[in-house]
Amino acid sequence: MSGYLSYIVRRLALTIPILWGVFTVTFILFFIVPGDPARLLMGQHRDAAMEAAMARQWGLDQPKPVQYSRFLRKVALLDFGQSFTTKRDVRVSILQRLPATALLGIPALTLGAFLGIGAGLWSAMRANRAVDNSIRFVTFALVSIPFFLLAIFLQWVLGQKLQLLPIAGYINGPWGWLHLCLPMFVLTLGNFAWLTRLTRTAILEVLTQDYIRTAKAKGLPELVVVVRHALRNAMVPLVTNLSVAVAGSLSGAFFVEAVFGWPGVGLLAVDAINNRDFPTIMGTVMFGAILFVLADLVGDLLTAYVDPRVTLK
Amino acid sequence: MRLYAGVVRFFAVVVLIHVAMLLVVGALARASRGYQATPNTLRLATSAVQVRSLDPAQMSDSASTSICDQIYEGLVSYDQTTMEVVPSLAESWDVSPDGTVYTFRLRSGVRFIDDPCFPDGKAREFTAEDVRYSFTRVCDPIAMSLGSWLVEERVEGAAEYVERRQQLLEEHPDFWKLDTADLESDRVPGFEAVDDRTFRIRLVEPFAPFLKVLAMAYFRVAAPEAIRAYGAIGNPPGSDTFFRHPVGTGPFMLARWEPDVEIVLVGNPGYWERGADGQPLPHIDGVHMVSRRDPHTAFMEFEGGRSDLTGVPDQDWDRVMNPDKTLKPPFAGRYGLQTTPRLQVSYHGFDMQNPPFGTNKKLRQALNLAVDRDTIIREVFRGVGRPAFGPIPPGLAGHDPDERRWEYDPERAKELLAEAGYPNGEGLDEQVMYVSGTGEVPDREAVALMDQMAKIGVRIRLKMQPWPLHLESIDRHEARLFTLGWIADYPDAENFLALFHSRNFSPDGPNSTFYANPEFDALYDRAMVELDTAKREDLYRQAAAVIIDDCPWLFTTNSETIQLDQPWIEDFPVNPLGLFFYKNLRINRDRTVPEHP
Repeated sequence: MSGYLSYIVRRLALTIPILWGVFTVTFILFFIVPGDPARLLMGQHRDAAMEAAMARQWGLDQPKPVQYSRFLRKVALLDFGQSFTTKRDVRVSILQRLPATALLGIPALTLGAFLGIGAGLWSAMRANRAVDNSIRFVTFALVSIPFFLLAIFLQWVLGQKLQLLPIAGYINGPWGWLHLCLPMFVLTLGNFAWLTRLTRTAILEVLTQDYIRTAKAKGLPELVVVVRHALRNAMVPLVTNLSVAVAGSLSGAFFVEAVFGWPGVGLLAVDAINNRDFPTIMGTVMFGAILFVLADLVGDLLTAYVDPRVTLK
Repeated sequence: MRLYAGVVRFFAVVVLIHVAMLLVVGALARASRGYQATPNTLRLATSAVQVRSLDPAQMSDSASTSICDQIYEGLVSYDQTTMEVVPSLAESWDVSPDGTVYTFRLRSGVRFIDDPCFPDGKAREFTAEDVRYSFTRVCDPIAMSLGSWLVEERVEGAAEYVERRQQLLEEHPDFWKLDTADLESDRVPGFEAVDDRTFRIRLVEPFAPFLKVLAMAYFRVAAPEAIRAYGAIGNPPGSDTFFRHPVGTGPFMLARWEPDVEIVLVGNPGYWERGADGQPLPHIDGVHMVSRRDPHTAFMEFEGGRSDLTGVPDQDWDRVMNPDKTLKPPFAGRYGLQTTPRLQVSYHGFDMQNPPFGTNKKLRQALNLAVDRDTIIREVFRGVGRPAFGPIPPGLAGHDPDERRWEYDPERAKELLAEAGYPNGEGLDEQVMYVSGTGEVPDREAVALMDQMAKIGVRIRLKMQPWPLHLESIDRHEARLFTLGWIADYPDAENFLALFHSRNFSPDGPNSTFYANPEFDALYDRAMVELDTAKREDLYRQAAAVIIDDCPWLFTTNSETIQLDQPWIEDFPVNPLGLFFYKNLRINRDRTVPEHP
């Protein structure tokens, strides 16, 4: 256990330079791309006094290294300041959006994983037969279709023509949870597709190993061979990918959020980029980075758990 | 078998997790009870960008203005169809004979809405002091006002006030911590509360369109108590601030604002104004606006009857509209359709201080003759818009409908091009046209224009940049030919002619072509001090004629607004300024034939 603990501490220490790197790159990118945010807000009615006031309030009148160290200090305390455009506290904005994103992303991922791993297993067990071919065809199609097209199509059929489900909007009112159906369905399909393909490939690779032949030769039922012997070994790539996908689900799915008017983190990030709203850009980027780093850590720990050959050194 | 038990356990866990999540969703759904609109509530699904602020001093974007205009009122307002100035919080006004002193008699008995910022939460009557307070904020960089350019040089003492505030900014890096009471002791002498019911503005020099300026969203009267109680700048995170907590006298009150989800306005029960029929305004119970970021989604909400007004998004255009701007069969008769010219002009500006365009009037004239505006409108804008042959859009006094001097004439264009020294374009290098943006339509317009120029032998290539960079290229004189547009801030030709005054060079003013012509400046200056409307219009026409002859722009198009209404919507004319006022709108569920078929 102490091995685990020191590993976690070391890994967490390692996240600091990674986050610092992400911060620095975002900072440099923002200031390399020209275009003054105050000018963007004022357009063709420039007002020097106002511009000075805004620059002063946001600290943009300081030399770049001063701005950098000031921002770094604040970000280290997870304080991203106030949004240039909405003047809300960025932390508050992200935390307000997080439930919406999580509500959509996490169930879509678990459901997608459940169905996808199942379908992948089935597909691998029946490799190159009718079942496998149809599953591959469907998932290939799903991976290839842009999400927003699928979303618009479902809106049109289920929302507009059949009037079964609300076409967009966030949950509210007694039947509010119905708003969740369409976006969740679209996201689940997406997760289902890539997880099916990943599982199938991973299992097929394992199924050619000698120990599987041995297990089969022992006379074990096929399902037992696949689930207990093959799946366990195929878990390594799955766990790695899934843990990163959790982070992805929490940092927002922009297209789905935009089409379904879902007020999540992804939409916040894209608005921020369009408005050159530096504090919000920094906030959402750092938020995503923290999630990914943590997810990666959890993924590594889980890998070590499912695969004893991996040691935490 | 252990394996099957494991599989069953796994299933059970997955099902349990999802049931738990559904319960959370259910709980959340119940917690956010949701706004249940009454049948008499206007429902809007809008793809407009997010509402940023409800502080009138910060009204720069149309989404915020569309909400603010329901909550606050100014001294004067615009008539919804003619755009003439009409009384609002001011009952009447006098202008001194020299045009520099405006004295407003304020309406009595008008109260702010009830709000905890008042003692006992009970509203009080609005007074001239509130007007002075609110107008002073418009000049104040510390209030992060975006409207001070409108008054800074015009109102007595405003420029000095702005300077003092800037000084304060210099001295206090963290100015947002300054004491509000201290800040309020400083005044603009030109804004004077004579007594409770009289408010006076003194201008430095006459400015004829001044009343139209005062009808803009910046000049709304807010309760100073609210600004003091909630704070207007730099509040600690999470606190309630004024821009989120409006307290005005308008026909509606803010009931709910969840960014990117919804905004709910409810009628102000104590609102003072009555409609033409003597009924209290507003006629509707409220406005429920939901955010639908994708315009196509917003349009589907309209088709499903869940939204009452809409534009027509690009994706849906061919399905809904005929080429002649009428509705296609299933839509015709089902929805009302309003097509209104906007007070807007799209143009391509020349850098007037540099060759080749700025130094060669014949060249600029030749290019204007080579623009086939009807084709651009038909091919690029799907028939929406009107050809522009001058700087002032139709609908404003000073616009001359008979002026068609630059009507498409490629033969004459070639002749002029030869006279300009470039027969068939020979000797003229390939020119770069600077285009802003990522949007599809402006690019297609620029491409069409490029083709039309090529027909007379002028080669043009495009350079596309994001909006802030585009403006910077113009200011640096790097762009010699560039695409821009202008939307009226207030309905007066002066707002368009200001784009040519040598005092207004970009970036501090809107003169992006750096056009400087003493003859034009003199006409403009005379118009500003001319208080006789007919004489002023004549001066506007003369000034516009100078611009039309000089061609600092390639005049291209004036845009139009297309709006679809549900049949039950009445009394909501589309406004040429693109503003929305819902107080006179009616919902009549018995109506089956749209008001504007």
